[in-house]
Amino acid sequence: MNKKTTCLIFSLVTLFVLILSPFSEAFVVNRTPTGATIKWFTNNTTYYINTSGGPAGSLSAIQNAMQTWTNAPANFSFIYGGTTTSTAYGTLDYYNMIGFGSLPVGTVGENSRWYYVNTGQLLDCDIRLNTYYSWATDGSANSFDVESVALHELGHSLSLGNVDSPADAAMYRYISKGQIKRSLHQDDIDGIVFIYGPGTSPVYRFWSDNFKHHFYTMNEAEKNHLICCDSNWRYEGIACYAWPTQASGTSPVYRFWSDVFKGHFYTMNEAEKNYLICCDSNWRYEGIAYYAWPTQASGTSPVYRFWSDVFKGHFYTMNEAEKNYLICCDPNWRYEGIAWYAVK
Amino acid sequence: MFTRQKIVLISLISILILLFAEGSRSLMIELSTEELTRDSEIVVVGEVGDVMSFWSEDGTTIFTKAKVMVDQVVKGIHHTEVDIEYKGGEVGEIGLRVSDAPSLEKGEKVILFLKTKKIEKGVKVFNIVGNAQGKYTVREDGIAIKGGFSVVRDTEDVIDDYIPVEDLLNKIRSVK
Repeated sequence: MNKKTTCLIFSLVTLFVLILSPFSEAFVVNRTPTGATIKWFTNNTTYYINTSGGPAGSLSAIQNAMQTWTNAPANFSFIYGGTTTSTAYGTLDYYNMIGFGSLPVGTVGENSRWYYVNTGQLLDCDIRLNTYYSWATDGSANSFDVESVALHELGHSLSLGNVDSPADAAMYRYISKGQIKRSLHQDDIDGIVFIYGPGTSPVYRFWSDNFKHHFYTMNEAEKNHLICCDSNWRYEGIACYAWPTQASGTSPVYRFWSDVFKGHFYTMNEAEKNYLICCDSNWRYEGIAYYAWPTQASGTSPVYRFWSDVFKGHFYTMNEAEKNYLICCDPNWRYEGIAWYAVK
Repeated sequence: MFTRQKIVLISLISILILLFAEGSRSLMIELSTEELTRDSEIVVVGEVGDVMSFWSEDGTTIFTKAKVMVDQVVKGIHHTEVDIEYKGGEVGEIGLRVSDAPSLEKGEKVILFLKTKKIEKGVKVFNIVGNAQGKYTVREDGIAIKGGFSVVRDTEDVIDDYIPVEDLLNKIRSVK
């Protein structure tokens, strides 16, 4: 084969892989016939659980499944409303319940979703697990795992549809007896983030001309106090969005204060944090500032970290132009790399 | 020379297609054609006619009723048309979707595994066996594609989710 043909073959194969790859792992979102996304119009919904007909441990298994979706880094939470004796599966009573009951053979779990046709707003979502089959919460090989199936059906309650791949996604359309699938695949997470947006809060940025340092906080009270009552700090706006509580996949960003340098320092690096706590008296540990991603996740961007020998302080930014300017043109700042990933 | 290059190119693309096709289908576990056939009173090939959704008499749920013009009865007694009912649909401003329910669209060519649900004014109204799994959509190229959702089987069995229509019909006829 000559060089030209080899090149042609390579290009065609690459093109083919590129064309197919988006479809090999792609969440499905339910829509109305007019194209509106079917979804909750609030960022949480409450579920009541009826464990009658289920195995021992069903209550906590279903709660765990709810919590797994809640822990995803999306702006949505399932709230446990308590146990119920209701068996009103599939009726439009604006009361979401999960329970066990009869369903056709071949269906292990089913989800009934009521919605407004014009807007797609979800009104009521009930889940039933089929008592035709045997259930377990201990991973028994001859039974279906309550938590795994509840996780899948709760995905429907968020408006995610079944997928043909990846097979280890919670929303994969098939499940076998004894199969444990209690965690979310990135494809599931991408789906819930797509529908409800990332579950983040703003991180506010301040600058002090006196201390020559930046300060970052997610705490609204702290932000408001600095704006109203501390003339040392000038509010510069929202630096990024991050998670106030730990979501699946995120890690804590630790905050330190130095009386010596009159500045704050933030790190996600456990070794760095531990060293400062144990062995560097310049820094006082103040706690967890917020949570962010240690590696890039869907919808996140890098937070760049700089150090200044002149100001004896760190600076963090997500702004590419600001980063590039400091690297190219401001000798006061030395680029130290990506600190973590957050949402712009 | 160029012919050889073309063969290499076609082979590479074919391998790639086969790899992708296998990857997306090999883990599926479903109700088998045998099970669907055995559970069915009739199996028909036909075209979906009018589809209409309505509230149940007690006002608690929405059903959809579809008329199917029968081209061929593969199992069971002769019918020229059948009425099918399943849960879900849209009436006015309210919609209901059920995760395992089938969905029929007017003009669709289908193969359906059916069982009597009720008799209404002397006319049988059928359920689709195995919910969405009991419906095959027939493509213009003669391939039948199986519906199906979060369903299960104890063992990984032969699956007929993508099969030439004649092969599927022969399989159904062979079930004793």
